Amino acid sequence: MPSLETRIGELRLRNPVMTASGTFGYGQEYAEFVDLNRLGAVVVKGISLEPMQGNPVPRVVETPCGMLNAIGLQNVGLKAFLNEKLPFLRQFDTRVIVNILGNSVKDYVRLCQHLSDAGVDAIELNVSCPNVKKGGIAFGTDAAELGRLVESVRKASSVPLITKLSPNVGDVALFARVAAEAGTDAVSLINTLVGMVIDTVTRRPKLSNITGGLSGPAIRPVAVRMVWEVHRKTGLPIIGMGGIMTTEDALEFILAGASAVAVGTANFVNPGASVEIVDGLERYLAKARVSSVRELVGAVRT
Amino acid sequence: MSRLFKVPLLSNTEVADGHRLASFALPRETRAPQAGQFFMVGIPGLQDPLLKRPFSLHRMTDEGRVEILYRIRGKGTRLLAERTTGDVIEVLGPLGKPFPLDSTGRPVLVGGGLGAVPLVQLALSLAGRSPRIFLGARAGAELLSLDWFRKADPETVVSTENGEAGLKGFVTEPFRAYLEDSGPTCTVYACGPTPMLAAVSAICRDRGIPGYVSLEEHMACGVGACMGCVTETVEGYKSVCREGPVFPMEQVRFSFPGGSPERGGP
Repeated sequence: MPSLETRIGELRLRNPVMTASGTFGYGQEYAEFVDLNRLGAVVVKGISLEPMQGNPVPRVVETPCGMLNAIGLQNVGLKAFLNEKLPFLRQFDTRVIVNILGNSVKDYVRLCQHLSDAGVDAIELNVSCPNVKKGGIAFGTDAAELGRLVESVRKASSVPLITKLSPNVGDVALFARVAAEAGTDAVSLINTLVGMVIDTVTRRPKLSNITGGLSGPAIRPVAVRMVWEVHRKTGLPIIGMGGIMTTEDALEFILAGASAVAVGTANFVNPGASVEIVDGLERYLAKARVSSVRELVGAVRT
Repeated sequence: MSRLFKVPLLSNTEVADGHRLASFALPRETRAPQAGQFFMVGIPGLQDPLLKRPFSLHRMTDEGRVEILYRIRGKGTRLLAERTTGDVIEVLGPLGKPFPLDSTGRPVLVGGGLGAVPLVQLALSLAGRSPRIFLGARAGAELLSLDWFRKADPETVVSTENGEAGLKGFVTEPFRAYLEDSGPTCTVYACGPTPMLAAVSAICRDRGIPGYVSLEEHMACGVGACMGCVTETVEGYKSVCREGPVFPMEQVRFSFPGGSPERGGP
């Protein structure tokens, strides 16, 4: 049987399929639809030190082959996550990766200390949420700030560190390189692209936040290109994401250079999508007589 | 485990201009849907539109089929309307919290327009407790499920804004008058446009009457994962799909453009 096992730096995964942060709640929401034991990892909704309320509605609007969201990072906060959400996820035989966000380097450092102590499997730094005014995005679009943040956070974390990069920059490989030099173990590519939809009857934006993050199949070619570029220029381990709906979509990312993939918006359409992709990858490897999925990472013939 | 299933449409017929009634059967292992719950429905394999659409349970038929009643509003509902009996749809559900049935006193139902759909099964489930029903709409043509409501309450009170059917005016007027005559030993269930829900909640609050409202919001996932469909409550934002759509009235903080709750609604 072909091997689906993969690695993100030091982090070993049973298979390369994860759920993307913000699209899978804290795992509990989908536990009755999906066998969480079959996933390579669950990446939970972004956590901040204190609970966050998020933006007013409308927070979501559908777009051609995709959707815009401006949730505004509503989350239960670190304490409730550790006490109420993490124990549930620990019942399953899957990796738990915690996405974190803050307004300052200090916030991120404290989150990393607590989560390292709690023994989560990895931490994903959210420096790319386009829907909040402060923090997050400021680190993701300023290379010097990003380097400073990753360096501090690296020292505070005893678990693998993944930096989720913003696609809303000119040269994404530059940011990947900065994060790597500052000590990140891997990068997630890509977060949502900033977009906007206007209601022509009311002449108002359809989202209360005016702009939002575009996700779904509409952004996939952009995401695949960015993964390919970062893989080629840095060789960093990459978790590829952006509109993955099917096994073929996941394979595109792997061939472009992703060591693992995350399924996001597809969860909303088909909660079983991630597990179907695990099965599909296994079938693909068997049919193509490839012994390990790792042989396909970056194997696009250009 | 999975409650996402592909099933054939068993019917999909026009019941009024731009409105259709569709039905499908649930796989045996699915738990029985209850009044107030909803389904996310989509066409398999489509990427545009990408997301499923939420539809409230209209009624469980005698054969145990799920009935949904919908208005053609955009691309998603238009594509659904084009499907015919035998075409396969993709369904996630039943989802959300149902209306609690173990309420005190006489059940009083207040519905507005197409928003009254979730009250149909509720009325039928409560038929043995002689519910009192108030139905409002802008025009007579919008009173789509009146026959079902009359099965549960033959004296269902109808109001239309244009006076085409029943009383002329907002549904909140006869509802308020009824409460004044009958005293507070009842539980109110309301579903309809937000201004109507706000008005009904204010009327109940003033009289110390308990009640429930069923809310609507733009949804992406339907299961509480994306946090897209929140509503403001006294305990902060709550997800309409998972923590609702049915909420105790006193929990919801109504806010909407144009008008105070006391002005009433359709």
